[in-house]
Amino acid sequence: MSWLRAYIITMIYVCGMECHAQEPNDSVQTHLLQEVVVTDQSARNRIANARLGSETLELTKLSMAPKMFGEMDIIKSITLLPGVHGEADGAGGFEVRGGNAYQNLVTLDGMTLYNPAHLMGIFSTFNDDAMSRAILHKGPIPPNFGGASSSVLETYMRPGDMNKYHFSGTLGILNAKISADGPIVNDKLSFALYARRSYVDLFLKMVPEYKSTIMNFFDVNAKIRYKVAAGNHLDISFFASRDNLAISDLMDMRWGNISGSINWSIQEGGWRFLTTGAITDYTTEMGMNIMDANQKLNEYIQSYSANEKISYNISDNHLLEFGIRSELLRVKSGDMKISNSRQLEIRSGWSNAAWIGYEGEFSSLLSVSFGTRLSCYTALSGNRFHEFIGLNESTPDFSSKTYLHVEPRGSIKINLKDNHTIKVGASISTQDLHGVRSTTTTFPFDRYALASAFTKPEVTTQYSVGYAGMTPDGGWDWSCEGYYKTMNGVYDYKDGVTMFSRINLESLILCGKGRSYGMELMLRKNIGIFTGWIAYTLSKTDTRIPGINNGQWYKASNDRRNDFSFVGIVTFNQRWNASLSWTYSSGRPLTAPDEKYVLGGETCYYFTARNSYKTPSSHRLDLSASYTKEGKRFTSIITFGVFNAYAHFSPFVIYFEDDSSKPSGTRAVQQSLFGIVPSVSYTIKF
Amino acid sequence: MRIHILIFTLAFFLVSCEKELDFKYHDVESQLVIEATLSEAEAIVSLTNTIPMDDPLTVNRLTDADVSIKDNTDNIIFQLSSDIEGFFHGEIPGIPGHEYIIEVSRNGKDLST
Repeated sequence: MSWLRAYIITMIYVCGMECHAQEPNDSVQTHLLQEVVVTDQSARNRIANARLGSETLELTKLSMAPKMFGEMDIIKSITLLPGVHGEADGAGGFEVRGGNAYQNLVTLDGMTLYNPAHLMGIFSTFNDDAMSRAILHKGPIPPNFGGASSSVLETYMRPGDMNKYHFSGTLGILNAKISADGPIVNDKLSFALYARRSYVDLFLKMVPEYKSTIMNFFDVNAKIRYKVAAGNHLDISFFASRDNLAISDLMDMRWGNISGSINWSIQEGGWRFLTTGAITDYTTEMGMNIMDANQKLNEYIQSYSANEKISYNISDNHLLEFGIRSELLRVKSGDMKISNSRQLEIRSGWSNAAWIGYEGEFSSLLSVSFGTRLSCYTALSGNRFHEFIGLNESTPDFSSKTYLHVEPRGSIKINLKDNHTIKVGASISTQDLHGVRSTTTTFPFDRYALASAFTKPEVTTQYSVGYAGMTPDGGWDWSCEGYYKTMNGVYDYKDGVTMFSRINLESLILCGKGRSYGMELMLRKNIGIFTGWIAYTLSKTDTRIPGINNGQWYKASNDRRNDFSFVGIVTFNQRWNASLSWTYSSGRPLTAPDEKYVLGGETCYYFTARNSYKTPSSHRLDLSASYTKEGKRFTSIITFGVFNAYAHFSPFVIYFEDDSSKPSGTRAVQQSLFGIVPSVSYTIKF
Repeated sequence: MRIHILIFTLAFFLVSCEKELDFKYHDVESQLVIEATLSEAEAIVSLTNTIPMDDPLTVNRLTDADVSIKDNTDNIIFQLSSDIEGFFHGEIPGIPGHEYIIEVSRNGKDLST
C-alpha cells in the first residue's frame, strides 16, 4: 500500500515543520484520491488551543465552501470567519479586527508577500492546490512574528511526494491550473510545481467595448525538498506572480511578487531548529498615455531576511521557543517619469528582532502562552541606501534613526469544565512599513512609507477575552471573543493632496492614532451531512489625526459596523457535494459632499467632515456544487458555481455628478463590479 | 489513459452596473462662496451661497455685503460696488508681484483671504 506510506511520511514531514506545541491533531482525513490533507482541526483542537485568536484553517473544509471559478480561495474563506472581512468588491485584501489590509503579514514558506491579491480580488490569491496549511493569527500575534500590527497569515506550500508522482490539471472558464509533484530521487529529493494562468481577457475581447483590454495573471509555486536524514530536511521554495491589466493604448499596469526561500529544518531529541533565508521583490509598474504625454510610474519593495527559530520541548506539556531575525528592506515609494522629467524616492531600513516564547499546560485547568519580542529598527542613512530626485521639492530627511520596542504578548486559557474554556490575552506589536491607502480599499499603486526619522513605526496594543465551548462529541462548537485595540503611528494623506502630489511622500502624510473594538460570535456544526458555520462581528474603528477632520475622531475607512457570514456545506454522498455562503457587511464610511456651489461655471462640491457618510451595505449569495468521479487511473471533478446568485449590486465606487434631468440637478451614482457570475471548471488528477 | 476533456464555455454575465442612489445628505450651514478675478485693469467679485445637494443649482448672486480688495504691498484699500447683475466691480490696477487680500463683510461675518 504505497499510498499509505506516502501519506504517513508526508504527515511526519508536515507536522515536523513549523509546529508550535499544539496537541497532536486527533483526526486527520485523507482527501479524495491519494492526496494528503495536512491539517484538519477538530472542534476539540479549536477549543484546546491556548493561543487566543489563532485559527488553523481547515483546508478541506474550506475546499468545500463555494468556490469561484472552481478554486478554493484561502483569503475569501478567511473572510467568512468572525473578525475578518474582505475589502470591498474590487480589492482582494482582507481586514482583521479593525485593521486594514496593509497591517497583515502574509507569509508563504517564510517569504513575505506584499499585496498578494489578484486582479480586483476576483481570483483567489493563492493556488489552493499548492497550499498545505494556513494559520491565521488575529488575536495576540505570536512572538516569533513581527512586521505587522494587525494579523499574520502564515501559509505553507505542499512539498512533493517522496515516492510517487501526481499530476493534476484544471480547466475553467476563466483560468487554468496544472500541478505536478513527485520524487527526483526516491525518498531523498522531491519536487512540486504548481502553476496558474487566467485568461479573462479572451472573453472580454468578445465584447466590443473591451476589445483591446488585457486582463490576466499567472502564478507559479515551486518547492524542492531534500531529505538529509530522518528529522532533517532542506526546502527550497519559489513563488512568482504577475498581474497584467491594460486598457487599449491608454493605460497598462503590472504588479507582482517574485520571492524565494530556503528553509532548513532539523529535529533532534526535544530540539527543533528552523533556519530560513528569504528574498522578496514586489514591484508595481504603470504606464499611461494621456494627451500625448507618456507617463510611467514604478514602485518596489525589496526584502532580504534571515530567520532562526529554535524550539525546545522542556517536557510533554511545556515548550520553549526563541529566535532572531534580521531583515533589510529597500522601498521605492515612487518613481515618476513624465515625458523627459523623472522624480523618485528610495529609502532603506534594517529591521532586527529577537524573541522568546513559552507555552505550557499547568494541570488540566490552566494553559498559558506568553513571550516577548524585542524589535530594533534602524532607518539607514548611507548614500547607497537612499535616493531622491525631485522637481522643485526640498530633499526629505534621510538621516538615521533607530526605534527600539519591547513587545510582550501572552494569553491564558482556563478550562471551566470539560468542554468550556475562557481565554484572556494581550499583545503589543509593531510595523515598520506603512501602506498608505489613498482610497478606502487597497490599490496596487498605493505608496509605502518606510519608518524613518520622520515616519514612526506603527505600534498596536490589543486586549482580548473570549469564551469557547463545544458539545461532548464535537458535533457543535461555538465561541465568543471581544477585543480592544489602540494604534499609534497611523498615517493618512492630508486633505487636498493625492498620493502623487509630490514625490516626497513624507510631505503628504500626517500621523495620528486609531482605536478599534468589537465582539465576534461563531457557531459551527461539524458532523453530519450538513455542516457549516455562522459568524457575526460587531465592531467600531476610528482614526484621529491632527490636521485631518479638524483633529476630531473620524470613522476609519475600514470601519464596518456589522459583518455576518453564513456557510453551509452539504455532502450528499461520495460524489456530490454542494455549498452556499451568504455574507452581509454594513456600509463603508464615505466622504460625500454636503453642499454644492458654482465656481467658474462648474459645479463644485463642499465637504465638511471626513468619512461622515456610509455607502449602502453589501451582501452576496454564492452557490457551488461539485461532482467527483474517482476512477482507477484518475479522478475527475466538475464544479459548478454561481457568484452573487441574486445579482445584488454592492457598491464599488460612489460619485456625484450633474444631472440635468433631475430637479436638483445633481445625482449620486453607485458603480458595482459584479452582477451574477456563473462558472464551471473541470479538474483531472492522476 | 483516456482523458475526457469537456470544455464548457458559458457566456459569463460579468455585468458592471451603474445605478442612482437615493442619497440622504446631512443638514449643514450654508457657506459663502467668493469667486474673484483680478486683472491688470479691474477686479470682479461674485458672491454666492452653497446650496443643499437636493436643491436646484441656481446662481443667486448676493449683493448685501461690503467687499473690498486691499493691496497689501502698497497698503491701499479699494472698495467695490455691486452692479445690476450682482457682480462687485472695482477699477483696480492689478500690479504683478503685489500681494492682494479680499475682504468681505456680510451679516456681521468678516471673511478674508
